[in-house]
Parts: sequence; C-alpha cells; structure tokens
Amino acid sequence: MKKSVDFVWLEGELEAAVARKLLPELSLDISNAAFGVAKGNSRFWQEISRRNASAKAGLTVVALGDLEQEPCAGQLIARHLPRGCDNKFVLRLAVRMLESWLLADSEKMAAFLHIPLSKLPIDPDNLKHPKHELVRLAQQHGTKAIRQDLVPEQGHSGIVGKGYRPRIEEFIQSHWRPRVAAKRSPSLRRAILALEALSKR
Amino acid sequence: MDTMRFTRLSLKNWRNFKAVEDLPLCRRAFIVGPNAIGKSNLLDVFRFLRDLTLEGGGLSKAVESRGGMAAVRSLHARQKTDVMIRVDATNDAGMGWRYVLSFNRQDNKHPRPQVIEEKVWALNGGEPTNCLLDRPDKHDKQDPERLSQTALQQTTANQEFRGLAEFLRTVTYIHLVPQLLREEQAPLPTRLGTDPFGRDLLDRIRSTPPRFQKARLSRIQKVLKIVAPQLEELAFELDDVGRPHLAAKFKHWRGQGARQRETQFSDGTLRLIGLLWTMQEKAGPLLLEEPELSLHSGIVSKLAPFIHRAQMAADGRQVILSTHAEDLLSDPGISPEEVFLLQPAIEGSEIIAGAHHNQIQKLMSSGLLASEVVVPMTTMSQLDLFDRAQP
Repeated sequence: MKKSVDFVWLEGELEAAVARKLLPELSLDISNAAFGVAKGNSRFWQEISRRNASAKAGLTVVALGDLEQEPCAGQLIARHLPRGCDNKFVLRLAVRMLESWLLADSEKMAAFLHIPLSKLPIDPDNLKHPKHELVRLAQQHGTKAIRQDLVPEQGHSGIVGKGYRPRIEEFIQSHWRPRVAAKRSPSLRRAILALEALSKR
Repeated sequence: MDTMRFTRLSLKNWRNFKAVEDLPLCRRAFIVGPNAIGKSNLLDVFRFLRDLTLEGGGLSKAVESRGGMAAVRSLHARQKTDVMIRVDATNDAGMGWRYVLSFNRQDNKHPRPQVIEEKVWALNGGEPTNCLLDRPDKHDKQDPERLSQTALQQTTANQEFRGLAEFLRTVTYIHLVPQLLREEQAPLPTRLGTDPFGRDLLDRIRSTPPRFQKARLSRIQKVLKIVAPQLEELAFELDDVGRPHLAAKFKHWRGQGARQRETQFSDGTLRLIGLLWTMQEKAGPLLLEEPELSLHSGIVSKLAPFIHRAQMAADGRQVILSTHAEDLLSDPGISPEEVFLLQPAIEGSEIIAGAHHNQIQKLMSSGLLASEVVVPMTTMSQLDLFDRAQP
C-alpha cells in the first residue's frame, strides 16, 4: 500500500512540479496532500519549523527546496531546525538548485532544448549556479522559441526569461525522468533514498 | 516585431506626481504600490494622450473630463505650474517619435487649458533626429486661439506624425467592472472615447470581423476550459432587440446543460474573458488596472508569463499594469527593469524604476522574486495601526 503524504511544502512552483512527478514514482500517495508553495527562498525557511511541527503533530510532511550558495546542507538545516527533523518530516534540498536535478536527465534536457547532448554538464550538482547554466545553454544553442522563453531580454538583469517557469514546468511534467536523473545528481539520489525510506516507514 | 510601444516617460506636475524623470518602459511593466499612491493616475497619462487624439476629444475635453486643470495638475506644483508630459514611442528598432506637451490654464479668468509648448521629434535608434513640430510657432503668435488645441488632434496639422496620433489612439485601458458589463447595454454617460470600465467590450466583440471573432472566442474557450471546465461553447449572439451578448453552455447535473449569458457569468469569468479578448486585439499599449481582481490566486500567479506568451504571438501589444498582488509578482521571469515602485514622497508620490534602484537590482539578480523584494517595500509604515482602528 502506498504511504499517504499529508502536506508538501515547496520553495517554488517548479519544486511543486517536481514533487508531483517524483513522489508518486516512489510509492508516496499525494492524492490527498495539500501543496504549499512558499514562492521564494526566504518564506520557505521562515515556515520550515512550522512544517516540522505539523509532522510532530502526526502529519506526514515532505519539503523540497534549494541549497543555493550555502556551503553545507546539514548546517543550514540545523540553523532552522536546531532539534532536527521529525521522523515524519522529510526535508530535501537540491544542490545547488532544482535545475541541477533537471539537467541531470541530460538526454531529455538536450532534446527539450534542441541542443547537442555533449553540451550538457556531466556533474550538475557541482555547478555553482545551475539556473545560469541552463539559461546559458538555451542562449548559446537553443532555438528562437526556447531563447524567447528562457533567456532574459537584452538589457534586463533578471536571471531567467519571461516564459521560464511555464516552459520548465512543461519539461518536468512531460519529459523529466527522476530515476535517470538520479544517476548524475547525488543530491537527487539521496532525496529519492530518503523519500523511499519514508514510504516504508 | 514591429509593434510600437512607449519606451520612455517624463512628467511634471501630473496629478500626484510632481516630477517623473525619464522612466524607461519595456514591453511589460508592473506598477506596484500601496493604495491611493497614484497607480491609476500614472496609467491615466497614457489614456490622456489617447484622449487628445480621439474624435470628439482634444485637449479641452481631455482636461475637462478629468475635472479640469485643478484636478489634472499636481497639488504640489508651485511657481512652475505647467503640466508637462513627454513620451517616446518606438518600435523595436527604435524608430518612432518623441512627443512633448506642456499646458496650463489660459489665465485666472479663463480656466480652459492652453498649450504652452508642443514638440514632436522623429526618433531613430531611440534618439531624436529631426524636429517635426515646435510650438508655439508664428501662426500661434498671430492667433493665440490656436493654442487651445494640440497639433495632435488636428489632422491637418499632424500630417508628418500622423502615425504617432494613430498609435496613441489605439491605447486601450481595461478595468472591467463586471457589475457594469452585466447591466443592460444602455448608453451610460462615460468618459471620453472608449469606455473605461469595459462596458463596450461586447460592442468591440461585435465589431470584430466574424472570422477573427470566432477564432478569438475559440481561444478564450480553450483557456476557460482549463479554469472553469463547466463552461462550454462560448459564443457571441444578438438578442431579439439586437443587443450583443456572450453566451455559454453551463454544464450541470441535467446533462443537457443550461445556456447562460454574460449577466449570469461569475465576476472572475467575465474579467478573464475581458482580459483574454483585449490581449488578442491587435493594437497599441494595453493598460490593465489590477488584473488580479476576482481571479483565483493560482491563475494570478500565471498571468505574467501568460502576457509574455501573448506578446510573443505576432504583434503582441505592450502591457502596462498596476497591481497589489504578490502572486502576480511571484513569477521568476519578471526582471527588475519591468518593475515600477510607487512610493509616497515629501510632495505627492514618486516612481522608482527597478532599473535604477540598486537594492532592487541586487536582490532580484541574486534570485529573489519581485514579490519578495518589491511588495515589502509597498507596505505602509503605519499598517499596524489598522489593527487597532475601530471599524
């Protein structure tokens, strides 16, 4: 029987799309789960102890966020949750951003961006800024339609283009294969192990 | 893409803005600020320019319909009390026009407005090349009565920059008020030109050639199907006395479904239809007043990339919108250059362009969202007093 998740706490919309894809593949039932989207790193962490408290109170809670430029995930979590995570709370962070998990399915990503497979990073968890890398790949090799969506307009200082979120969401929903991606992304591999352990708990 | 859009704006003494210096405007602009700070007044500049060019419009009417010079001019104007508007409008290649208009009341006895200065330059690569109009000229000096009108409103005088007048005429403002749309279509006293509150939406749909009308409604139907799956077969129809209506089939337990007209649509559905229709119109800048109203937050958070997609479709129009909604500003594709923050200043309000604000630039280019950076800046300093206010 599938383990039922009650609450999923996510840093952004893309994490939500990843959770919707990933959790059901790992025998976690999300059909009754409430999805909370923090829409930003600051709010994600602000609320993290409340999510842990919900787990303490008996709910099964999963949280997905980005490590960003923090040196160590353990220290970052300890700062926000000094007494550690509850047994029913799984908090996983992509190293350094969710995009490394997506780039890790290199075949599908190359096909999606219409770029040569050889251009994809071998070790996406080691990228300093996976989002920049994804946008850079799109800019250098992508089709016009891809560039218009993923790359910031000339002269604009944003990190991603105006159609980035829906375009990448589409990739996650229709193409991304978490188990294939896990082979190249250790942080995704560890996340899958932790979620599988939760499903058996 | 060759669509014209506003690229720069400067103001003096316009409503509650004492001075706005050379605001850079891009294809999408998000005007953010607390209540009563002047977001609508800022959008109104572009409507004012449009009103100058409309048939039955012109300077006097445009000022009069806003409550006269006293209402148009900033309360904070001191010695130099002329109202000045300057806009650049170009296509992507930077070809277009610069328009400058200064006006004031004639004198204390004659409150009607008169042109103090009116200039038009041709722009190439965004830079002025030659001056096409410079008023007051010798004719104005001979006959000062001429200064009661702008050259923009006179087809005989604007020959060299008629394209500018035509561009300004296509500015569209929507602040769809569902209650008004639902009222019968009796002509209500409206402000100049196109109706500000969307009552003319049905007429605009009616006057669209049937082929485009059908194609646009079918695209709207596809979106409605996602957000309101119980509504089907959206269509335009005329009633027995020839009044225009939108109708759709509302699915329910009877299986057959019931035919509904716009009077029975929900506020959210009506606003969404209005928004989707105007986004598809091939025209100049679209001014949207708080498009988030009555829409589910899930849809609101998808509006910014939706506007982008509409703009990427052929000849997408510029969209300048005002908003309070964190959800709308939470899309990661919004760049600092698209954000304009309105704040109270010592005299009136000031506009901070994200492009010129170091902190906004720094925070947003580190990956923070506009909702995380700009919305907190709009929180009123005394908001906690609201908690203690007696209702």
